[in-house]
Amino acid sequence: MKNRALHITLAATLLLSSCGRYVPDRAEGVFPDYRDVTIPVNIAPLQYHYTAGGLMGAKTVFECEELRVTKRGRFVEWELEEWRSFVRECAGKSISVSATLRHWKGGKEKISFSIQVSPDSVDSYLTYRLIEPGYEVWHEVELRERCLENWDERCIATYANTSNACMNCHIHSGTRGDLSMFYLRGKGGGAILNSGGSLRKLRLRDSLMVSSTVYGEIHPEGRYGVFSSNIIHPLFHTRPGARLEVYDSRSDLVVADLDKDSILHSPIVERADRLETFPCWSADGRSIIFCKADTASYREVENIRYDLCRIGFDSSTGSFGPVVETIWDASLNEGSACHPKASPDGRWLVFTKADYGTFPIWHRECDLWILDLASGEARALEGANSPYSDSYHSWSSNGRWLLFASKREDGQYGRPYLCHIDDEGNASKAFVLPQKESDFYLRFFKSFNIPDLGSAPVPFGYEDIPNLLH
Amino acid sequence: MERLRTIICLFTCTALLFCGCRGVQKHSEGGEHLLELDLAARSGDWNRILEIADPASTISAEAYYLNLAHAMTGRLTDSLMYRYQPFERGLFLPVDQNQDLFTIWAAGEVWFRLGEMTMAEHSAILSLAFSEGHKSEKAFVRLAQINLITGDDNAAAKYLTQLLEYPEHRRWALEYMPGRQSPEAKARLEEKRALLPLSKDRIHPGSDAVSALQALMEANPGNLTARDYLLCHHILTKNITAFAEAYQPVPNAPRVYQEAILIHLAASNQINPAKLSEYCIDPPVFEDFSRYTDIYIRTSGNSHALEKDFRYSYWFYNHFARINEK
Repeated sequence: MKNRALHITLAATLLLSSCGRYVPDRAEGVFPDYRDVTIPVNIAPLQYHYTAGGLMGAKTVFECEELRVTKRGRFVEWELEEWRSFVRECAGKSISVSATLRHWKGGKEKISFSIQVSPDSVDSYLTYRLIEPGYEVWHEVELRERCLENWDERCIATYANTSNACMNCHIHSGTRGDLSMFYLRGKGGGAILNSGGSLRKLRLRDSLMVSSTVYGEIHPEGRYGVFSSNIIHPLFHTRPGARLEVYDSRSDLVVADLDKDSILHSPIVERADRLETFPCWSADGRSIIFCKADTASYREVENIRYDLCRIGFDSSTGSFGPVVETIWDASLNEGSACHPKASPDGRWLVFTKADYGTFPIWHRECDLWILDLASGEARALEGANSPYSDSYHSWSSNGRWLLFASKREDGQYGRPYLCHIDDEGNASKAFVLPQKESDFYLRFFKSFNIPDLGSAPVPFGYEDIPNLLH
Repeated sequence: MERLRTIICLFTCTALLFCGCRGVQKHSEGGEHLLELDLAARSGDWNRILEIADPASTISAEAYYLNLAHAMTGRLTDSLMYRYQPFERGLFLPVDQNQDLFTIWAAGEVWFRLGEMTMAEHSAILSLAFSEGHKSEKAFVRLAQINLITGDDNAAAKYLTQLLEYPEHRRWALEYMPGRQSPEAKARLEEKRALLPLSKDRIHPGSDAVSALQALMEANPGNLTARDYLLCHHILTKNITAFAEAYQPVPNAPRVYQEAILIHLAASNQINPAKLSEYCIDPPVFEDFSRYTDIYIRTSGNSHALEKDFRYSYWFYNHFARINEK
């Protein structure tokens, strides 16, 4: 009798504890899916929950050699210090996770998986833009910075003190917190450069450019930035599920001298019959890697395929090399390249491959590909990819982690995913950035746009931005 | 022949100077009345819209809902010219940075009803962005509906899960949750899916409603509502050439279509018995057309002389309706 009363009390407690946190059932059984993933030793706790309906109780045991931690309940959520000390002890080892789920209808279910703890740390900061997945129209956009080791998140630019201005994504130079930039659009806006904590507004435009600068990257030495200037046309597909398309009727490359706020041109990368876009620097800063395609009308957008190309750049003279070399031929690979990023050691280039076009986030088929810059061989980054769009990646400073935006959960909202890259350029199974509450992503209706890793926090905040508008 | 040439000249030279009651107001006006129209549209209560909407209202959104209600009851063309028509804005509302939240939201309704889910979703996502706290239950409902229809179950489940927190939507959300749908829910979704343009993709700018409508019709020639929207779009934008290309003559066609095609025939010097028969023009319509033209010529295009008998004709609209840019 006493046992029965105890069971009823326990059941009621469990029921109450999950009130207001409905969780949809999923085939994977756990959400977010942290089964068999490799994590950096310094990552925030992997909060998750079991998704099975009709759960009466759950007991989860985490074991790593002699260490053992038990969690009870559907929601498996750790305290920060508890997780840190546990994971630190497990660096370079595997954590075994065994769960026993008890169902109201009777019977038990076992779930087991492992978590590999890599001793390789990931850079501790991540910046991103939070925005609804639409375009042309925006409202209340913010840039934020999150510490990956805990739950801290802060706003670094906000609509609230910039007259609801649209702002483009924040990019670090490599992963440097003391050198980064973003765009503030509209009246009084410009490219906002953070150089050692000092903020400057740059124009980054001259009369020869087809538009202001759009996509780009800062040179490893910090003086130059390479950018595309694009005339962008948003389009709609009528086929359900295909949704949106973005088409460039014109795009060129330029290098900006950030010290002088002046533009360097080369006719080789500003051809009217070519679309040149998505530039990045090689790891040594001696060449620019970019995407290139022939121009076409928007009605032929499905025939536009971008090659990956390379041109030399001499930072001592600020001059471009004489020739453009193709390093990945779209016609041979039945796809279109966008958003290349070189690994810090210079060995790899990861890019997004779509069937066609230049805007990966709405292309469901978009996958991350890795190109061996020594051999010229490219392949899909299996493990990292999903049936939905995987794009806009950022390398960690040690070249061991790739953080990227994936729409794999629902096809609409981009979430930051992390995967480990080994010596051979293989990716581990990607996992979503942990949040304090395991059901956060189920209830969050904004995309994490252009997530970019930083090794240190940027030395400015949203309160510093309005001064630059005047 | 001389007379026909005069008619052609008149209809191809439409310097529109005045229209007493048919201007376009740039802004959208809110208020409870529009919200009531929106609520009726969302719940498919077309008779309610027909009952409460004012055909003479010069609010674009009101004309838009009234046209939609007529279309959904199979009567878009019946009294098209008897209602205030702010050109294409009576059929499609714009979605851009200059519009208010209500207009952005309302713009998606017609696309949702026609089966064009990309445009409908665009409007709903932006409504979410503009809503208080970026959470709008009606946007969640619409996004769930759209993704259920297009078969994006993971996205639908996300919105349905959110709706479980709203007591008034909880039952509906549970009924439609992927994996748990009732046979009735599945049947209703299949019915909606029949309108989707699955067979051929078209890529178009957001302002190009015509391409989206053409895709709907190509994929599903039985989508008569889309057909009427396309034809009426051409009519209201006075694009007679496009109308003539899209129009398939049938006996007893709506009078407004006959009136429009007569302009095309006159402009292309094809008014003759064979063509009138080919285009199934009813004799009384042609007689009115001749009378209208006579008065127009005789009065040198005086709208007051035509207003009494022809103010509800398409010819009068074509000649005298103009956009009020105020």
